[in-house]
Amino acid sequence: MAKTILIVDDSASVRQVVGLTLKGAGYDVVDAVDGKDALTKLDGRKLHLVISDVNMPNMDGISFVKEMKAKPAYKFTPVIMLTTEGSEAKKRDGQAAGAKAWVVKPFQPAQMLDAVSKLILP
Amino acid sequence: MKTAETNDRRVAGWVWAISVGLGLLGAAAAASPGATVNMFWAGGAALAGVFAGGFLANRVRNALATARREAEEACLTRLPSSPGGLDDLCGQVLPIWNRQIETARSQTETSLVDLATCFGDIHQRLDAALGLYRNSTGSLSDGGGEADVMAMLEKGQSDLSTMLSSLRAGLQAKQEMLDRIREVARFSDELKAMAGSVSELANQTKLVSLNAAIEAAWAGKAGRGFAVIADEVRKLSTQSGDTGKQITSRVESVTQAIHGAVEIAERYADQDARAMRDSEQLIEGVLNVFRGAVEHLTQAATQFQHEGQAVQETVSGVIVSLQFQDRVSQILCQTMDDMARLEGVLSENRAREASGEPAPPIDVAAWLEQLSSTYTTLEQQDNHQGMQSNAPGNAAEITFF
Repeated sequence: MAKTILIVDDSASVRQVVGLTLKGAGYDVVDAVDGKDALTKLDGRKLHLVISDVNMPNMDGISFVKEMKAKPAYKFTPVIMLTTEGSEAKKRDGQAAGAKAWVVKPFQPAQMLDAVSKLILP
Repeated sequence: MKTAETNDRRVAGWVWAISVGLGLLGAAAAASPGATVNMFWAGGAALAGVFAGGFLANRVRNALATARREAEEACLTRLPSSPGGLDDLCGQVLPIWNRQIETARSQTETSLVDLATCFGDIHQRLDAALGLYRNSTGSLSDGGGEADVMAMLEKGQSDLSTMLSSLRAGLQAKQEMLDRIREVARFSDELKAMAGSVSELANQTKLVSLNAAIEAAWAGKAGRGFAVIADEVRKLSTQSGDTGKQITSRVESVTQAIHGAVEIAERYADQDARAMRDSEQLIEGVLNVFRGAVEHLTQAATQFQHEGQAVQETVSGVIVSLQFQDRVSQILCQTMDDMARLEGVLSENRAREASGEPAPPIDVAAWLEQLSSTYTTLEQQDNHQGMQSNAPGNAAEITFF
């Protein structure tokens, strides 16, 4: 059975590109347009990994990850932050929120898939 | 600032000097011989001129300082917008620029999402086509499938060789049968010779019986019985001769039939041997054609797979490049936000001026600092520092925590 990954990004093109990359590798994909939308998409769904942008309207990625990690069902769900931000301060914020990796856009599909395969839940 | 104050002092000094001069002139006029006033009044006028000059100089200096301060404040308030209705222009044009940028940004995003969808579709279809091709050909191009097809050809060649061997065995059996028939033909010749011997014996016997009859005739009455026997022997020899002739005739017929059969069998054997050679050549030719076709197919499959992979990699590259839209969108949105902020400040200032309240000066340094704090990309930081930056940072920088 295919593993499910949640993509959270306000950019439709990024959602599209990440979705294509993951679907091509055999993963199931669910997407959300911002942190608030992503929280509604959780809905008790079994997620094997989350890929989230940082700067988004309504709710940013760091706040979303914090709220998601506060839910027992998603406490151990691995998170990859995918963003244009590359500052060490932001990375520390992401790590403190519970992210496992920080990927700066634009990403290479092979490297993204490598990071996903390293972190995804069995 | 110091130069302006020095000028103020200089102007005030001139006012003071002129006032003192006027006072002294007044005093001199009063003290002149033809004047009707006395020295007391002249001195008083001179002192009044000095004090008035000082007072006026001080007032002029204060007035100049106040005017300059007000002018500076006015300049600070109106600095970004003062000449020629720049405030109004900005208030009108900034929202328009904002909408134009948003339109361009949203159109770019929509088009790029469509492009990404199209390229993604191409990528998936190509992947499916390559997968289907690999499955249907048994992955000819990776060598495994080619080996399978070559093994299939070799098995076909082996099966055909087995069939040819069976045919050869049949041909060999026919040859053996032909040899047997030839032997039979040789036997028939012997039979013919034996039949000839029988006829010769019958002739000899007939001569013997004739001599016996002659001798019986010479014997007279005593030889009558012997004559009868001799006659019977002659009859038997005649019959034996006839039988021998019949045997010879039949043996000749059989021999002819056998020779005819041998001739036909030999002709067929030649035809079979020729057909066998032709079949072997034909089978070898067909197998060579198949080998050539397989090699050609293998080369085509390899080329197809390489080209397919190259196209897939190119499409992947395009998909990666399409991510630039996200950076462009962020840069444009951030610029639009700052334009909206400026528009808001200008609008607020206009409202204050309309109500007679002075607008506070804009702190440019604070403005730039706040602008800088909202950047999300390195290009924005570079641009802010005055370095033109056109390219995004290195791709796929991944940090694991």
